[in-house]
Amino acid sequence: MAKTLKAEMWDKMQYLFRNFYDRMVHCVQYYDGLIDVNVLKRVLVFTTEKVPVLHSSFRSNAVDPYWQVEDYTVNDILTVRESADLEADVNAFICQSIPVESNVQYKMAVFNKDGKSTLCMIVNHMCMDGGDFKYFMKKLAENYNKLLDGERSLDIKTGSRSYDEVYSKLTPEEEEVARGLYKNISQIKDEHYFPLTPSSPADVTRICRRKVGTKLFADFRKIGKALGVTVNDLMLAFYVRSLYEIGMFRDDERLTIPCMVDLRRHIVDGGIHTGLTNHTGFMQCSTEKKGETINDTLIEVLRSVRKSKDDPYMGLYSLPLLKLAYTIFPYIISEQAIKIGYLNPLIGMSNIGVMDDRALKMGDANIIDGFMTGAVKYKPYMQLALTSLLGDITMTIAIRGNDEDEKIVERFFDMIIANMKEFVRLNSSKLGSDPAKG
Amino acid sequence: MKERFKRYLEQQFRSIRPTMAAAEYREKVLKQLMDRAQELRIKGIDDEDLIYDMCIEELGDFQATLTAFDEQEHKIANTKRNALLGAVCGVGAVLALVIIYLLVSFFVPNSWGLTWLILVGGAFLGVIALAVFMLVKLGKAKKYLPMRLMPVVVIVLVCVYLFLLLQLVAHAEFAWITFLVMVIMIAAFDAVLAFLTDFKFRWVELPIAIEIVCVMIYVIVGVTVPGFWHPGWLLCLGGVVAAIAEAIALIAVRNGKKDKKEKIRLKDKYTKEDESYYTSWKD
Repeated sequence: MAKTLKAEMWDKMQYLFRNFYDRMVHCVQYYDGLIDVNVLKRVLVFTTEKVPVLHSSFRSNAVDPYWQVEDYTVNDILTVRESADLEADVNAFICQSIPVESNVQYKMAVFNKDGKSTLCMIVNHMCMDGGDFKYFMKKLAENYNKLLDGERSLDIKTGSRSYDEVYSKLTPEEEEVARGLYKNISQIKDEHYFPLTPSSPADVTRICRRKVGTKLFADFRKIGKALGVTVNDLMLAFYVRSLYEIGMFRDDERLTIPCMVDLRRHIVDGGIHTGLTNHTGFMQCSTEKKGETINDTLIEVLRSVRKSKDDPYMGLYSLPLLKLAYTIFPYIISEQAIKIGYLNPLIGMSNIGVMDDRALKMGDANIIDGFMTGAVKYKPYMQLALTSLLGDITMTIAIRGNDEDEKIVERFFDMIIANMKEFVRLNSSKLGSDPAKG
Repeated sequence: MKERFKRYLEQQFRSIRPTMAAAEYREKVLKQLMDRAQELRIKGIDDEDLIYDMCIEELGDFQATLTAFDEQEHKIANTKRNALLGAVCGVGAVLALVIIYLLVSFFVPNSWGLTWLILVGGAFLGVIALAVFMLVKLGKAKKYLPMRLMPVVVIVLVCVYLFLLLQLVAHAEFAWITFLVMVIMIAAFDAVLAFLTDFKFRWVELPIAIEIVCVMIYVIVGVTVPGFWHPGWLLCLGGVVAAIAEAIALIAVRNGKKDKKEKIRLKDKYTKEDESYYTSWKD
């Protein structure tokens, strides 16, 4: 009899999101040397064996969906090729989607060119989110390096994938409160949308990306530090202001953007003992107006995010409601019920965070560039994803669109960069001091 | 900056009681100040002293705010304490009542048929205490209409209990008259309260209350004193007589006020005319 695994709440939720995006999480890492493919294969087999959900197919049924563990070979996962046109190969690889019925739920490719390797990976979002994807890539590199060093003590976390691990760090009293947070925060309706063209047959998957530049990033980060503002708050401000501009929203319009938050902050030891899964919630950032300058936009953003940051239950809202729906109804009904109650945000932002270059080193090959991004959104949905590596930020917007949409996104990146530069110009006096220390 | 704010708040918070709530409030104000300072910095103020002064100034009369906070906290604490005390006393009273009930029932021969009155009396007493408490509370809150319901509750319970005692313990022949007395007391009390609280229709209520009292007295005396029914029925006209007397009195008072006003007006008029006479010349 085939071995099965329980489909956890987030697996089902991500499956439901198939209506809004392609459910893939993407990562590309450029190295300055070659990756030993044989060693990598061993690591991949070890990892896949340890995490059965990665070699399982998702079986949706009316009552209770589940994962069925499948046979596989490493060749189902890994593709290795010499590349003539690296960017074309990378794009072709990361723009594909893995069906839920597939025997493996992640795919990896190594493209070699001019004595350098580029490692690409896509994984079903139902298996893990950006937070665990970062962990996965780090562990991959760590285990690879161990094998190169002759060590055999490979490891990867294999704990519970249950959603309620998010309550593990809370006190019993806090947990009681958190388990009663039935408020549906997705219902905060915002009609603003990113101005993409209408859907057409010419639409294809595109992962548009733009690097901010180390100097500009360093400058606004330094100013942010002087003002006591995080990079995430600054990026939200640049993003929000650029949205007002590209969307031509009125300056006094209220704009609400959900910003993804990693719920592992509520898990013991930051979730290093749980299984690979999704633990992502979101906080709402609502700006009442655009503001005269980028600094005014930043103040608007801060006023909004402070409320979330001060909330000890940030991101934990709605989880009990989802759990209740999946508990009391059979799957087919619960999915319909959640579809009615859930409003997928039209515009979002996800700061995946820092990719640790030292942790991602593979043997002698150093990482020289890379990014991670979330799922490819279907129109009219859109999300900006951010990853930082080696002192630079990569902005990515993954959409299904046409050439015109790509131009719009590129113009949007230009606006964000322009707002960053304006912020640096306005606050250039802060570049030499750090008054926030007080 | 944070340290300066901390020092300021440490100093300010010495003027109120050192409670957990005050400590939390202090943290909250510190965060508010820090957030505001950050906003001012982003707006472009570089001078940290100026930022500090502006933030503190925006707190307004912070001592007054703190005093209000402290009083509010004290009030909440007192309410909680009183509620707890009340609950403990209530439970104690119930226990004492049950013990008395059991003692009397066990030690007084053939008393089981009557001792339940102790429990009923205790329960009534509890409700009466609650009604009196509400009477005072509603009176302080100037919610007069619900307040006037409270004496009704008290009178009804007292009269019912009195009836039970007279009927079951004293076997009094006319125990039921208690209920007629109850109506008199309700009407009389409510009329008094209507005047004490300046009820808008107090002058309408007064003759109605007098009429009710008169009718009830007529029935009580009629039942207990032989031969009173006639001409005792004249007593039922008490309300009408009171209404007429009241109308006459009100008209008289109104006329009196009117006369007084008229006298003042005339006096003013004559004073002006006299003044005009004494100060006018032909040229």
